[in-house]
Amino acid sequence: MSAGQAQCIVPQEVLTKVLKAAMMTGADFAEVFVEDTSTETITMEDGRIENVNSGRDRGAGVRVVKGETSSYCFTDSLEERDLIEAARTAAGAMSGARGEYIIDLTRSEVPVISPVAKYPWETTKAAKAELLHRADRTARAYDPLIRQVTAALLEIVRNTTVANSEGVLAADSVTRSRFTVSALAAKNGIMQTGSATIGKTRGLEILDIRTPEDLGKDAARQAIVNVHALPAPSGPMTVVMTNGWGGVLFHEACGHSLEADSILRGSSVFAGKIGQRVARECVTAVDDPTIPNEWGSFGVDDEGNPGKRTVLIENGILTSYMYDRKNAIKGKHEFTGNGRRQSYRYIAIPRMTNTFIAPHNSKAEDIIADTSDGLYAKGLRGGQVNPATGDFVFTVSEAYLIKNGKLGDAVRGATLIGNGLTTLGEIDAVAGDLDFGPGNCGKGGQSVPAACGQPALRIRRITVGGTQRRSAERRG
Amino acid sequence: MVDLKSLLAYAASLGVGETEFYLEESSSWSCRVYQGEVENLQASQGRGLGVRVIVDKALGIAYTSDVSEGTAREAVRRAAENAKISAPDELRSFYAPEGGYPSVETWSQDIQDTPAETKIRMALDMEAMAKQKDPRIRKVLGTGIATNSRSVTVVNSKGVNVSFKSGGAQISCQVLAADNEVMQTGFGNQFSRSFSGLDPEKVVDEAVRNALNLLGGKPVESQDASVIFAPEVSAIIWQMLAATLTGESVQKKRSMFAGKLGHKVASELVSLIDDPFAVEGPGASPFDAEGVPRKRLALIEDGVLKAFMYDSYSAAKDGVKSTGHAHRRVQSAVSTAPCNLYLKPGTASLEEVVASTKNGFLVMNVSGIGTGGLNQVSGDLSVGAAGRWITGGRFVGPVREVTIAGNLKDMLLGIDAVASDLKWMSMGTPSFRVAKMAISGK
Repeated sequence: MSAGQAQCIVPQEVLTKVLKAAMMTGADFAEVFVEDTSTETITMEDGRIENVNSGRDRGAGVRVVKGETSSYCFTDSLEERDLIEAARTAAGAMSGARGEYIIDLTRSEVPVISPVAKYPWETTKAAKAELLHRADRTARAYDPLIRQVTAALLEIVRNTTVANSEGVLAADSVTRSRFTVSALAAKNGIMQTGSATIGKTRGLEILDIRTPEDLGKDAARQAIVNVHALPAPSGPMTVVMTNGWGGVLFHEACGHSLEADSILRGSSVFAGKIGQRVARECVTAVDDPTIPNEWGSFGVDDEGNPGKRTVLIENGILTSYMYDRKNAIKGKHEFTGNGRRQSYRYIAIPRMTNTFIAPHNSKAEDIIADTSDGLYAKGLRGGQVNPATGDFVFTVSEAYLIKNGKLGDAVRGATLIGNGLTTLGEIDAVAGDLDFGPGNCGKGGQSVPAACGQPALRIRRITVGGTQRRSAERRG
Repeated sequence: MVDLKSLLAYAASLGVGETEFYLEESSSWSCRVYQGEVENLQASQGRGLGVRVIVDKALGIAYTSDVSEGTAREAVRRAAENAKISAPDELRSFYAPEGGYPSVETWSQDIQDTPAETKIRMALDMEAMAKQKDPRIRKVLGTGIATNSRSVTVVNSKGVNVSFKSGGAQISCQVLAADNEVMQTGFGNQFSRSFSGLDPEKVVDEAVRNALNLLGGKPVESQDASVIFAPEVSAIIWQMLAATLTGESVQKKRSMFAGKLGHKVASELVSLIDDPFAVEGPGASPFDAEGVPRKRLALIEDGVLKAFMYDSYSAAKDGVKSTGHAHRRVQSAVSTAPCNLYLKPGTASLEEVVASTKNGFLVMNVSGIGTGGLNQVSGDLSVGAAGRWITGGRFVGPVREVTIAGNLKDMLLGIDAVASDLKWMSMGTPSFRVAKMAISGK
């Protein structure tokens, strides 16, 4: 074992006993997932530290698979007898019997993908509170129209150990930190918000990348831009998106439809399209949990399989889907390390990690200069998709009109609506300035940290939903 | 499991001023079937303890999923430590009991007693039934059944010690309809307080109808038109609206309804009520997350804003009493939220409302509303929508890939019909119609 490798939370002998109990009713496969997660949050509102919360989520889940059926039982305890009881409950859902099952666990080498410089316990809570105050002060000082500022620091240390009846034993430890500032500006009864976030799989050194002042100022700036902005236009437009969190477009519009569960149910627009052209030459899309310190990074997934880089689309051609164990076996595909879960209370399902459009040869400023009439989406909030139809929608948090290759008035309240496959085909220019933003992705009632990334890019035609009809301009 | 009385004593021994415990114990069972087989079975007993303490008038919070004595004591110590950096406030205080609690009876023994085989059979029957309903139903994507019971206990150092057990059963079905290359999913579900109250065929019919009614949808021309929101969509909108009807959001200058108490904020057809005694709803309960007794509260009555919701702390700030709307999960801080909201139904059926619509859009799905599509501060709404177009009082075809946009304040005033088709989901709501909204399509 290399230095710095995570410790097993529960001794190997206990895990072996649990797996034996889980296999008692003649199962094909059994797995135990053990978790010990500590969460620290500090929130500031109105310049005051309002909530300081420390949490511990500690427990284990046992999965038993026989044929097409899997059963799952979790326990909020790591006592040996409770773990074995959970295994018996999960096994009890299956009928059958077998004698002693041989479990031979071999500890996997789990690489340390995301080294940490400043662990949560190395900084006092008072010092963390001061970081929030710094962000708050900067945001308030930005403009007299700023009415409210909230700031929050989240630090999570998630230790996991997975063992299964096929001999896998893997332990991982992941530290994530996220710092968020939101500002509210008001003028003549119009209230608008802005927010700025940094989140990485690392310690408090995230604030060396963007300082509390940077984040406070950016949140305030956005709120002020929006309070002065005009209503967004509506109708089909050309949209240029900035680099970074805008990758949520791909995440929502295509990423979810590339998760193997929806593929194998035949409920995805991408089913049966491997090897086919789904985008122009300039589009390459990747899912990669092995990017050092990115928000969705890890050493092994929540089924004990190593995280790896999966090229989903290469120069416009569909090349792979994202798999958990169950769907990889069903689809006769190798594991891609995409089996993830919110906590030990849930079963792992195929999920994205760090998903992004890869850099290409355009320049962001040239893409804008080359656009005669359109919308520049500088900031985005979240979005949602129906994987069966690929229909998606997401909300623009900061936007400007583009006229004759130049940025014009700020507009607010725009949404982008479209279809995943169609919109993917409309991306006609991709820059080289790849960046990421942190998100919490929800699916099947489970939320996991996922990063979205992209360089600046252009969508030739997409429907913008705003309140300002463009027909007047068309007549003119 | 740790004894909460002795844990109170432990907190006092640390010099903590006031202490509050929020304990949740749940038992859940669920099953998903797919292609005639049980795909997934889950059965678990969950627990969690939330701790809040007040030390020198400052609040500290901690929680643990492991409620053994050692970890529970560690949570108390952490909460006390956290209080040291929180901003102190004279108004911080936990609830002291002032009389009794209302009785709310939601528990049905058949939630616990129905054998697993009976529940699995119901799910398998639903799946088989869904396949038979229409040749265009190509697949049943997932059929699920779940039963759960949950008990909440609130104990504090001011003398509160209350428990409440509730339970429910839920069934759902998702189908995929296809016509040549065009696909459309449809979803149906039901929540019931008893197992015997479940109606599998109704849920299957709802899923099939939702898929077929939307199959082959196309964008319409951009225009202004009447918009009818189906109950499933309506519930999302009213819940997001209710989140701004709290003392907390007014104090934090985030509510668009600040200063509007006693004013007309909606059409006179609108009465929005929070009713802890409506046991059909999932939130029915006798006390809130701080152990304060619940009571019925009309938020909007005949279009007039009547009340804001409060927890203890936000109430103290406004010099009023808590309305019993403290809300929390084990892992979260206490906030203010409705418990069991419903929109009072009108007298006309949905069919009658549709028949009286000249040019309009029945919205059955929205997307993006919780991810920024509805700005709760400004009221700006811009969301993706799918549904059925109405011309001359009749459905003329499915619509998708359009957005609807407007401002919530204008929408509320522009409501010109509330139907009678009340449905309880996360809240109870009928369909309602807004006279005019902006639709962006082609």
